[in-house]
Amino acid sequence: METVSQIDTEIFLWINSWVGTSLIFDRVIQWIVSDYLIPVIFSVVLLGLWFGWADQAMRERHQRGVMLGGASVGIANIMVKISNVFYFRHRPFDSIDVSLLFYPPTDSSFPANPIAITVAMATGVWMANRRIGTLMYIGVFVYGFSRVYAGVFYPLDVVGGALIGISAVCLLQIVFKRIEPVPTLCLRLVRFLCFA
Amino acid sequence: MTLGQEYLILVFLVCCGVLQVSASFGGLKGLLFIGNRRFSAALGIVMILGALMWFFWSGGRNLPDTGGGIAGASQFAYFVLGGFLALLFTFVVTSLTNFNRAPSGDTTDGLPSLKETTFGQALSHNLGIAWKLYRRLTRKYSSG
Repeated sequence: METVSQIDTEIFLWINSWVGTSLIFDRVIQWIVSDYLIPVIFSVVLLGLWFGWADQAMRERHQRGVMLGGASVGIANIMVKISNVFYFRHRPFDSIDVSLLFYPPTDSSFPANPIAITVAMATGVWMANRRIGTLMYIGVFVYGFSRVYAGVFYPLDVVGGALIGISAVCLLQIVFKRIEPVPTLCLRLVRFLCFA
Repeated sequence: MTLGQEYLILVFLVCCGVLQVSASFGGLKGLLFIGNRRFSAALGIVMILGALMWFFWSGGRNLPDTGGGIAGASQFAYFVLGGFLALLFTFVVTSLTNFNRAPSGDTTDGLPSLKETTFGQALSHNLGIAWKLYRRLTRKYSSG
């Protein structure tokens, strides 16, 4: 465990040591790392997938993916909160000298909550549309990297967040299958109201 | 203007833009502000990029919730509110501007009905069917 933590810290320090090399790159990272950019983009991708497909069968498949991804965000959030009750990891800037490009958050570093949420959305979409889901995973990778680069997460926090996001979707998919036809009926009701 | 209000405007504009782009790709003419699908998609892209540039260009967005930033729960609430307002705005505006669009015979199949009708026409048609069904069922099973 000690060795894993040491390797994690070393990878973090290596990535964070690049800060200051290029001011333009740092500025771009500050945009990406923001609490607003990637979460807003991912959320509107879900909105776009809900409405934007001419083929009805494909649209319904997307809508099920959006339902899964959207609901998984809540489950992932709960899983992170439960994890934080049992384990609290201090942020990198609390214990080591880092170059910080973001405000210093006070919550637990492990698991990375924003990554858990964005991975949950990406996985939900990936279940319905591999191409768009893969693009979202690339977005998550960039987001996770930028959070480590900016000095707010260790790499393992990002990996932990990603695992929680994927687990939340898998768990919810099992629940959705068990409670069928409830999701289908919900979708039909929304369709009746011309929202789906 | 507070960051929360600016965020709400960002979400509203981006959601309106995404609705225009997705409706034009999905062929949902009843949800378009402009009749032409290409112009609507272009308008949507301009709204999305314009809103993002406006929000992020001024900088200073990386703030803790204790120092003027938005807490996670509030961020979620702002997003839901902004998205809902964008949907409402799109549905109301397109129902009014495309009012002369003739309703098709079958509008009970959800979003595909918006290819030919407006949201207002489709919804009122479906609610009318539901009301008739309810009246028929209550009449059938009433003791009087």
